[in-house]
Amino acid sequence: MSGDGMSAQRPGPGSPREYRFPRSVEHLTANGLRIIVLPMPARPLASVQLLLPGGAALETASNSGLTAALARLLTEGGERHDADQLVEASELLGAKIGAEAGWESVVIGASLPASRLAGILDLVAEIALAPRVPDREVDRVKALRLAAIEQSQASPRARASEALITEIYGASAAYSRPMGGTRESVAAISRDALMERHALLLGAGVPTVVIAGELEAAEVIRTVESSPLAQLRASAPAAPTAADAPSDGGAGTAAAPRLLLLDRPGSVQSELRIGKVGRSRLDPLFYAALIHSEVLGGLFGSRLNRVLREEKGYTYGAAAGFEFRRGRGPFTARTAVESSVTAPALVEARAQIASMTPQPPSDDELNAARQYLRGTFPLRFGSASPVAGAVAGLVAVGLEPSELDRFQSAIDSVSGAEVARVAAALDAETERIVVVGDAATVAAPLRDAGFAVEVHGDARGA
Amino acid sequence: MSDPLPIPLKESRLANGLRLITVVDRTAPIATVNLWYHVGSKDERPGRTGFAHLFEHLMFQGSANVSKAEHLSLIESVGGSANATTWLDRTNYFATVPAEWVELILWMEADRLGTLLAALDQANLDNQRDVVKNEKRSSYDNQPYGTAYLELLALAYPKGHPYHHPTIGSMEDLDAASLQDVRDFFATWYAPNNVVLTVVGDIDEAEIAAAVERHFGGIAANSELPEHPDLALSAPLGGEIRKTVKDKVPDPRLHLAFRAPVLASPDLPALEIACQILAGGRGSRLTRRLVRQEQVAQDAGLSVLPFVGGASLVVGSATLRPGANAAKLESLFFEELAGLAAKGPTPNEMERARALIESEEMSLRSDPESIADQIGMYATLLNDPGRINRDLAIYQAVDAAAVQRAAALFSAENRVVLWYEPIEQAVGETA
Repeated sequence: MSGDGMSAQRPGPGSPREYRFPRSVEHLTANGLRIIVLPMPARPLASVQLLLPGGAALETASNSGLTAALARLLTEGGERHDADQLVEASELLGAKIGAEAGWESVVIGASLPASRLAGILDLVAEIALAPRVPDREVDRVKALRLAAIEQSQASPRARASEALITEIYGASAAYSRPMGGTRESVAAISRDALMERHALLLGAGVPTVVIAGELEAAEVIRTVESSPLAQLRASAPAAPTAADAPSDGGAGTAAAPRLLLLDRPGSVQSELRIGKVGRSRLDPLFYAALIHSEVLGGLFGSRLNRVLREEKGYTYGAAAGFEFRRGRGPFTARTAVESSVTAPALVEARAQIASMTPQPPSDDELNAARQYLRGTFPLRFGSASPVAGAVAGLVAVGLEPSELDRFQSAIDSVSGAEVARVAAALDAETERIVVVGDAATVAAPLRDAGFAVEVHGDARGA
Repeated sequence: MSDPLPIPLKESRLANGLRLITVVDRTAPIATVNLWYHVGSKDERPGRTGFAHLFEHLMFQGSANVSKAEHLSLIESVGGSANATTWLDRTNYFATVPAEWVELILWMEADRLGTLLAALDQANLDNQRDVVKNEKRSSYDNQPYGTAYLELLALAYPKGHPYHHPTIGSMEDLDAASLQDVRDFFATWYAPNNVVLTVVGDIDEAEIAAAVERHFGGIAANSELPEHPDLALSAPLGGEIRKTVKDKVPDPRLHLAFRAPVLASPDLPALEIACQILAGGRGSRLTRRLVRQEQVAQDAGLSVLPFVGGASLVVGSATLRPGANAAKLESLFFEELAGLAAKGPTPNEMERARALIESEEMSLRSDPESIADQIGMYATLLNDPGRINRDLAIYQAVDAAAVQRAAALFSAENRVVLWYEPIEQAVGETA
């Protein structure tokens, strides 16, 4: 078959359409509960997210995982409903109610038909204000978390990612630990500690409820005001912790960078991770860092994916980027490659990360990243749940919902010089490297490639 | 709730057989383009498994007017996202873009349907073969329990049946794929009379119809489009099939499969509701009993994988809690399934299931990508795109008796029982 009859002429764009992130309407109750409503026409499935400030970033090594355990236990019932009754009541409203811990907050959320809003507010308030936290369920949640730790250690992906954050951050930093906690810290969780943690959750700042969907703002505010949610009170924020303190452990030398190799005998692939301390969501170069990530390891045509996947065929995919939190979250590059190409793939991945300074993004690269971030912005917000989630995420780190109104213009105005500053600052951070793979196959080639390889045994001590 | 307004489908067909369905949805300034090609891993020849999926990768490697690996980059550079999936019965390509760029996507899809072979060469094939082999390693071979669905298909369908082998294929067959095999596959199945093209979003239907005619109209139909292979199963499973896999897993996990009615069967909605009642979230029977009350499992799942011929599958799983008894986990799992078959759901369970279905329908309708995908599926596999507008009523009409009847297939004569066990434990057992 030939190209006969096919037009070589690429169609250009039709007339552009405007997109506006849903406008928010705000109200503060007498007790200090912040209400944010985002009316969205033609979106009858509403989303409710109650954000309680004071997340896992407040934890220390000894109580790591307490916030995540508490979040799981919130849905085990409140004053009026036990766990089964709670799930039945929410399902009768067409909702699955859930609670999740984050670094800055715990969010209780549900999606349900907008017409049934009042019913879910009662349930959300009940478990936020007075969760039961039954002893039997405490034991079960702890046991399941301990089993999940073993499961994640058996997954090369999860094991590599968890080892990397331990390398990047210092032992005192909350970000150095998995949010679910470690074997030791989880084993030590008690009901008393959970109830104390819950008290802190109700006293660590301004609680905020975000509600999006086909709703009328004034009516929603009245509904919230007359619900038990209005009993939630604002308080002074909890003292911040150094959640993002970097590790001061040895990183090797420029000529022989240290590489932590976690042995997984018989592995047919190696999981590769390269990480550094990244940037805060509050960083003025946030938008430039988004562009940087797309060019390096976000877009399909990003430098990492183009070389490692499309040119070399080493991998199914390679990615890199910043994870933005209130503190400086991690920057990570990630891929999984066939064992036999572990060393050349790692060398190539590091070369692509390093290339961002001597070969700053071209105009084509910058434009592709800008267009992608601009254009996919409305794609992310088709339904109420991601809209409420994005606003709750901003509030959690101390930003205003209006930040989303300026997303597209902020992306447009990022300059090449700002992206270069992001790359230069990243160059200056200490690099950490983790590989999970078959040490018998990959250790020698990695040493030959110049890495100071430190082999650690099987997760189960084998 | 009051019944939602019907989704306004508009259907037409080009002279070459291409079926076009458009839906105007102006709630967001975006448009989604979704193509369902009626070809999947069931259409592969023995010794050439993994072909439909490998081919899906090659569709992103360029055509006469799109250079290698440009396809996705071009879509991203106009602010869109795109992907593709391959499954037993079909291959599906989709892209969502700012609405003003929808014609570019139509042009790109037409270019690769009309001219893919102009760009296909050995280097592209070799590169994507390596990528797919790494996909198999990272998604299946190197993941704990990652091979479970490969095992379940092989056990639930007899050797030689088109559903017996998995979509990802085997390393040997991928290695054996020649450029000529790939060309033949394309020439056989990638034709305008074997695709449903659905466009949903902030679009002008007349403009879309004209653009589709302009870009796809000149592509020749395949007048010798083959029949799909016979999917009929000569006999029921006829008893329990049991297998144990020793693997690098931390805890034993039970995987199950039951043969089930095909996609077109009127019994399928009741079966889906049965699975929701048994395993849909914290209030479901299996989660309550196995995870919360008896505490023998870390998790429990059960869901329908619908296929068009022979039999669909219901697949289930539960991971053993450390220290718990595997035999007890298995017997409790079956006890819950048998309980639903014996006594049916409670009125409360039916009411909850209906409320959740209503929410799911609302969720589907707020997502143009899901609307397009559902329409493409119903048009391709059931020849009934309008089914999307009857689904809510169909599911709401399912009664307790129908759910109970559907649960009858959870019998010992109709199940595959597959255990994954840690390698270490195998040593302990022999001691």
